[in-house]
Amino acid sequence: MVFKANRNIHPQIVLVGQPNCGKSTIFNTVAGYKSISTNFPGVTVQYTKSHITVDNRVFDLVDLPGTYSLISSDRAEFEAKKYLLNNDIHTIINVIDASILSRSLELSLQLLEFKLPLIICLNMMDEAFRKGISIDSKLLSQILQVPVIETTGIKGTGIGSLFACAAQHINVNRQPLQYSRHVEQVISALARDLSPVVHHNHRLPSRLLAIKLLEKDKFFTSLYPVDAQLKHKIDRHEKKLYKDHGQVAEEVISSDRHSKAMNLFENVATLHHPHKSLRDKVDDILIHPVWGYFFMLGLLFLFFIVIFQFGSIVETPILKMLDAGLLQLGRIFNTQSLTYQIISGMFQGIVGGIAIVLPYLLPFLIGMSLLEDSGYLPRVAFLMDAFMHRIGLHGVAIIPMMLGYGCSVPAVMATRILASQRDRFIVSVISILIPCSARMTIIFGLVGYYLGGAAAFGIYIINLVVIILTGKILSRLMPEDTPGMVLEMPSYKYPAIRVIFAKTRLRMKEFIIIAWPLLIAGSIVLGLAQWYNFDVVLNRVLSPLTLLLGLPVETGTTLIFGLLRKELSMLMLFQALGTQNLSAVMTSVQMFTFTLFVVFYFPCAATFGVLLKEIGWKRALLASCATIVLAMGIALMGRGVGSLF
Amino acid sequence: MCNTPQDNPLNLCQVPTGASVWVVALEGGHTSRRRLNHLGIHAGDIITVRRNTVFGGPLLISVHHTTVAIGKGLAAKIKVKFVANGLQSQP
Repeated sequence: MVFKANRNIHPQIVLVGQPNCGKSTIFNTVAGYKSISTNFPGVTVQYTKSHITVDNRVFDLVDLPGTYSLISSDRAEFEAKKYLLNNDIHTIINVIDASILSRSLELSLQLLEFKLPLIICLNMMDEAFRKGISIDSKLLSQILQVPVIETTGIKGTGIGSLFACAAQHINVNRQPLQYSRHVEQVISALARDLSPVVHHNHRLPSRLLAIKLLEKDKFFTSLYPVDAQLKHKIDRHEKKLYKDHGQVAEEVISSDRHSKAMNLFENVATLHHPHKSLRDKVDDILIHPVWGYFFMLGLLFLFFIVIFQFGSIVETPILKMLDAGLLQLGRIFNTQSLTYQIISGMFQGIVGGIAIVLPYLLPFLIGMSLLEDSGYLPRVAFLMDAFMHRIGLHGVAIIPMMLGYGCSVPAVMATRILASQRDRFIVSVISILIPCSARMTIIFGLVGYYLGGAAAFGIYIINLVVIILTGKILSRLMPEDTPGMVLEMPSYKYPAIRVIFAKTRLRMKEFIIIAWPLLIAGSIVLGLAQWYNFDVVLNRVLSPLTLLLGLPVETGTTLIFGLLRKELSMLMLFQALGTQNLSAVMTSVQMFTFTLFVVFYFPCAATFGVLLKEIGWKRALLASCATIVLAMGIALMGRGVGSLF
Repeated sequence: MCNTPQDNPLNLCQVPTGASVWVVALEGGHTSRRRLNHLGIHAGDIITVRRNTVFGGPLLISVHHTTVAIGKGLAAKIKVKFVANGLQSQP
């Protein structure tokens, strides 16, 4: 008897759209918060998948990375094309930012060329209204022969009917629009020649391949190498287009598609006078050549102060409770017993998370989400462009760097929004040097708490100087004209409380389910190591380093734990040094030196993983090892300067 | 200013704040043209310059109902002409 494997495959709905069109918001609305959405272009670089239920049927919902087109060979587009051609897709939802309909339709026209089932979601209808654009979606639907549903993703309106429509229209294949007669003739002639090449691939229409080969799309030319005879035919068609239009085939097709999209837009949209709103006036100030910078610095400083104040108010009473609790434990258990070691380790791990990490992490994450969703970050990129040119990069590079203050992992991933490989490498390296929220808790919880806000601020300044120098040196070593900045400024949006809450919860979950258990386990392991005197061995191995930096030898093991999660370095200090009052066992200079070292040395395990993927293992390893040398140098300087005070 | 030589196209960097121009041609290689195409900028499109400062810094332009920041290097590759009634730049 033969069993058929029940692989439980659900029909697939795929979200495709241009960057920042609101796909991730729609995805999160129906699938629960799984993909980080922000208000700047190009944030989703990988696809996210989830099960959803529509009318009692289960579907797989896939959120593809945002792509402006399906022509070029940048990584997001490469992924998108690969996905569209290699998976059984039951419906594509083409999400369009209705306020930039004309441009977005170019992608829709390209999607139709795949002849897959498709429906259109006109998202951000409120924004279109504000810009004075009203769209006849019925007419659009008639012309394209595709259902069109209006939504406002951020408010959740229309999402229900969107998915109901998607479920109704699975497997209804669509037909592409025709190009202008002359171009169409060339395409269909080539498509006929190509049909023997594609007949075995049911997902690839020959007309699509014809267009892509004429466009010299690298994805397709590498996938479908053509023989000399076919090559000759393609050349002939190309020459014909060039002769008649005076442009290379790719430009002819692209211009034709562009004018098609523009015509379509003019047919279905009516323009009214835009409502000049408060947001436009605010924008004039926020990107003002003078006031813009004042505002930016003020905002970042405010951010710093709020986190510092909030965190230290909460930290003090909880640390006191921790001390009292430990005393209590000491009374119940014999302090010289193994049980005490394990239980106190566990206790320290649990309370350490609440006392030191959460008070700083929570306000930081909320603030970061607000910044991301408001649409302010691209303005920072605009303002900082001239400055970034001084370190050999351009304004867009500031976005991964800003994200780096949250977490290095998305920062390194976000370097994909940069066009040049050299820029991506330099910014990846810089991003891992930026103190992420884990290192921020060390800066605030240790230096800020014991030495004061000015010292904590000082660490950020030192860090900034190092980053600027590193950027300058790296871009000198790898001279190349950066291709320059092109960045869309999305409209400002009032961040939705629901989204901010969900996003903060998702990122907190990261800490609570991964870092915290690790922290508790780490504390127990360290307790056991101390019981069996194993920590002495580790500390001795690392003693050249700790002695050089003038740190207590016991801090050696904590640096090892820091490789897993940066917070551990500090939290394990309590266990390693056997006290809650670090100021009794470490001098101010030692705390400062220790923190400086922890901020710069080797990226944590998760970051190292992404770095491997983004810049290759050789460069990742080289860069990471270089950070150890860098960290030692800076910490030594910190020690030297600190001892002067 | 009104007698700007209409025959020789300017590049976008030379266009003052507030003026509207139409794109005559996109120069430069494949990659830069594609990046501009992505944002809906093709020959024949109308661009309004929202900000063009003498200092470094990128230009801020409006095209197809969006605002785009564009570096000077790339802007220099966009050849443009003034649209008929957009000749006078705003004060």
